[in-house]
Amino acid sequence: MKQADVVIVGAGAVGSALARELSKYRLKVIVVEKNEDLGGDSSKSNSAIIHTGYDAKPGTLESQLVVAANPMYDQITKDLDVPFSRIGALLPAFTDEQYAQLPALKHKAMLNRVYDIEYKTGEELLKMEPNLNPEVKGGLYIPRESIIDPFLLCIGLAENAADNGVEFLLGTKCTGIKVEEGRVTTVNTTAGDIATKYVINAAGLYCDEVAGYVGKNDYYVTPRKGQFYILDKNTSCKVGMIILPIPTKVTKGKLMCPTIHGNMLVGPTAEDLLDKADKSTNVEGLESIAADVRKMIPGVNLRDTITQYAGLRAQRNPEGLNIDVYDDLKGYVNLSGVRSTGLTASVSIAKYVVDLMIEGGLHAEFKTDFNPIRHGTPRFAELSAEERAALVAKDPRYGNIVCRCETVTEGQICDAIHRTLGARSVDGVKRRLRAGMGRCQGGFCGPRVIEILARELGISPEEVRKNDPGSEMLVGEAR
Amino acid sequence: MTTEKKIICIICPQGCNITVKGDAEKGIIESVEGFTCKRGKAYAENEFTHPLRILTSSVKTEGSSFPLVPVRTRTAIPKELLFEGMEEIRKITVKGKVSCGDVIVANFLGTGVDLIASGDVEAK
Amino acid sequence: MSNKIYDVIIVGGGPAGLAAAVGAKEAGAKDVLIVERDVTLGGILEQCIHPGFGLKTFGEELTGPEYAHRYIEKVLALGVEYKLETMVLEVGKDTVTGINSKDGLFIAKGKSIILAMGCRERTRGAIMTPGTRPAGVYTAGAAQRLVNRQNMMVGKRVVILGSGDIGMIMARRMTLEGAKVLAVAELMDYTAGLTRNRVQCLEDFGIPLLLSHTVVEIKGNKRVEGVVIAKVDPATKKPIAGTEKLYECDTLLLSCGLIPENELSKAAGVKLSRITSGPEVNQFMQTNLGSVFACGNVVHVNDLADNVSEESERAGKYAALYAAGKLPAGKEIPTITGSNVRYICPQRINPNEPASLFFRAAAPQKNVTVKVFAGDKEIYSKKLIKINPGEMEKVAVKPEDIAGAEAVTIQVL
Repeated sequence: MKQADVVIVGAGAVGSALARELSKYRLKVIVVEKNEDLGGDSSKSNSAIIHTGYDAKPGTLESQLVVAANPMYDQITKDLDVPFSRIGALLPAFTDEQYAQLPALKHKAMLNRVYDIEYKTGEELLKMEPNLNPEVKGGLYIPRESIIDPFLLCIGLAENAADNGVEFLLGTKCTGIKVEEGRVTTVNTTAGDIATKYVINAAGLYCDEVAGYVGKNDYYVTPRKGQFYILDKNTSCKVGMIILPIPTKVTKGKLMCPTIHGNMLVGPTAEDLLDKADKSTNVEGLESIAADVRKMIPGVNLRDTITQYAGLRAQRNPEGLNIDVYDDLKGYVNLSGVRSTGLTASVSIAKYVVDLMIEGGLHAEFKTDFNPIRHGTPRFAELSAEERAALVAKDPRYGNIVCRCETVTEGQICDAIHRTLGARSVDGVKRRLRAGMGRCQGGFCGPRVIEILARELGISPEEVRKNDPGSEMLVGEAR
Repeated sequence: MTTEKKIICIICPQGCNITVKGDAEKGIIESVEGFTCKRGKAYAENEFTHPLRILTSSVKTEGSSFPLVPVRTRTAIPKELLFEGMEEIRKITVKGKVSCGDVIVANFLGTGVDLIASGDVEAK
Repeated sequence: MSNKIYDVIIVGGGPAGLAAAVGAKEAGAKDVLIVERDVTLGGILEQCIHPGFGLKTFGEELTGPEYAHRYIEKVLALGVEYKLETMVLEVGKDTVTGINSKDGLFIAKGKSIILAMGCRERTRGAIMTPGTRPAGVYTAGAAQRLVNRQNMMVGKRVVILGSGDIGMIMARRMTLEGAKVLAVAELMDYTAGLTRNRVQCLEDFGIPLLLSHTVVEIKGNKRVEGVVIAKVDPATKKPIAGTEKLYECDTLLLSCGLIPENELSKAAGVKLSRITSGPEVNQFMQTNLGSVFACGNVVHVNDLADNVSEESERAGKYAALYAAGKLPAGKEIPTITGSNVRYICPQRINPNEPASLFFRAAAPQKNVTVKVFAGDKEIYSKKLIKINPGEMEKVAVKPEDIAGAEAVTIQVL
């Protein structure tokens, strides 16, 4: 039987951040993830924003953790080589009713200790974002709202954790937690049992099911679907900042912002569902995005869309971010209500939880050899001519461009496959390197990526998957 | 029995609507109307009595620069033989270098038409 | 890379690039370079193993690789230089920046440049097909490459959305290769591709063609499990509620249109047409940049490789003349689209030189008259039994007919 000090269930942003935080200590940590790749369910498809927490409910744990997390990102993204940019957000008011809400929104930010929020006049806003609806009356500017590559954040955290000794069991589902005499002793998984003293439930969308294993499911999780459009980098109407709508009582509304890679992101919807696997898009949702966002940015050209996707936020019922430890169940930490702000809060949640565990008696000694630095796969598209030439001279495979839309080379694909917790699937390559994420959506590179994956993994092409088992790209050889 | 058949010509992209009258079984053609070229007329007559198609596909290679090399029947073969032809094509493996025009199977399916390579692969 | 200055550098070694190289050489260009990203010359032709090529150019019916083969042999015999497995990163007025494993990053200098990058396929994202995002959704061209070149079968039960030529050709291919093609759904009330492909690819094999239908949902979380097809209102193109039908399949192929591949052109400052999405050119296939020419599907999507070759040989010839300082100059006049004409290529002409005008109808129409006007003066009139947007039309105009006119207009009446 495998032995661990701590088992983390889930390798989304929170699970990966926890893994990295725990890898700073002399502990045997195992992460169990049901999916074949990192990034969980919610962490890999969302609006990719690192929030300031200006609009959190003041006084809540969520407010505390989101507000605290934002300043951590400059260093973390530098250490982990994750694309990140502090582009700032605007909250423009177009109607008198919206304008009247601005003082309350600003006051809320003050209560959340986000003090760098500023009023701007309509004129100032139009100067900052010329594509705003010219009827803009004024609004708020939130300078530290930022954008990130959410998948690379998860990868960076997990990879660095693994390099510092954490073991990841991917494609492995947690099927039960054994409790003896009021203490966690064993985690059951589809890859066998793991003896452990601690288990952290970071299962996100499925955290209620995992909590059910130990009878701590005094809540349930429903998926809240968010549909998005991604627009071509060359779309005619772009914005430079995150353009947020003034929230209504019902919803935070739909935004438009650049992605860290220069596309435009428009969305999301907020649809409460029951099926945790339903990531389908639908016409109604996509049309509602168009209608809403046009009120803020009338020129937005959704015909320039290159893809649409849906993500699921984990909506806790009753609501609220909860981090629970129990007197009658030693060694079990339950995280629930990690929703759309979870990507941002992952790194502060990790700190908070580890502190809670140490306070609660986890024996954890600091490592002296923790290495916080991760060197990612070179991002060829962002390199200068000299850097490119040098890379090709070192490894000719960097001279072979496989994805022409995003300028991704064979060298990068091989690196992404062979590095720690490397890519195992077409989506794995795509999320790590953006091969297939451009305007041709893999039309050109798709067949080539399948070939490279098969060759590098030593498998036959028909074993190459899009992502999880059952998502094989091909059905066999033609001959 | 005299019948009339409307045929869309596939010889060129124009896609002329040609009407052929005659006895298909006996191979008797009474009239052809609507064609705009000689090839079209011939096509429609053939299509009426005995439709023919060029079969194209690819065969497996061994020790070649590509896993497949394209093949075709040099000229058209009876349409009803297409699937039988595919069965035969699936059984073939060629080795090393193959050049465009090489005969892969002579007298393919006894049609008198050769199956030829329609592309090149190099020996690996 | 040496400091050699090429007369003509051609970006792309597909049907357009090959013919452009032949045209350039035959017009006297000394040093011609083709830069091609694939492992062989021939471009998309290499995967188009079906017949239907060459009737115009060679007077016989060839497959794609055979058609390419003839041009490749010519190109080699003429001493054209070429680089394979090389991606062009940037095009300037007289430079091409490329990269490959052997040379690394290089800059090639040319007196003239020909853009011959072809086109790409519209994707699921571009047509906004709702539903899940499983494996098994391919553009028809990507599937064609996998099946015909890489020996990989993409699926067993197939639905095809869009009746473009590649879609219909893949319907036949998949059927011959042992898959079951359940249907070809087409949003419009006519096929997007050539009539002959409808006949020999669909009707020959009894594959249902569903006109005025579209895929309204993709089902399946891992691999495609089915698609829902609904009828659309021919006027609005919106799905009609209640007409949805589930087709259980493992694969959806998309043949929903081609888009000229002009990222390099755009970055170079080439003026693009909003209608064709390709460079605006004159009858010499010359773009607004003077030294930069363009031909083939990068300019406008053609239905026949033969037309691409013809147009590209012309581009090659005039690029060579430009390199030699011999290209005719003069004030140009625009070509204007009249009733039921979607676009005309070239968009402008030098009235002192003969010009072939290629155009497409905006909608299918029967018993029409094509008329060409120089200013207000009718200079050409021809009756056609039918006109179809899927098939490009051509008229030639002579300098003497259009002398003094401010513009040339084509009408389909």
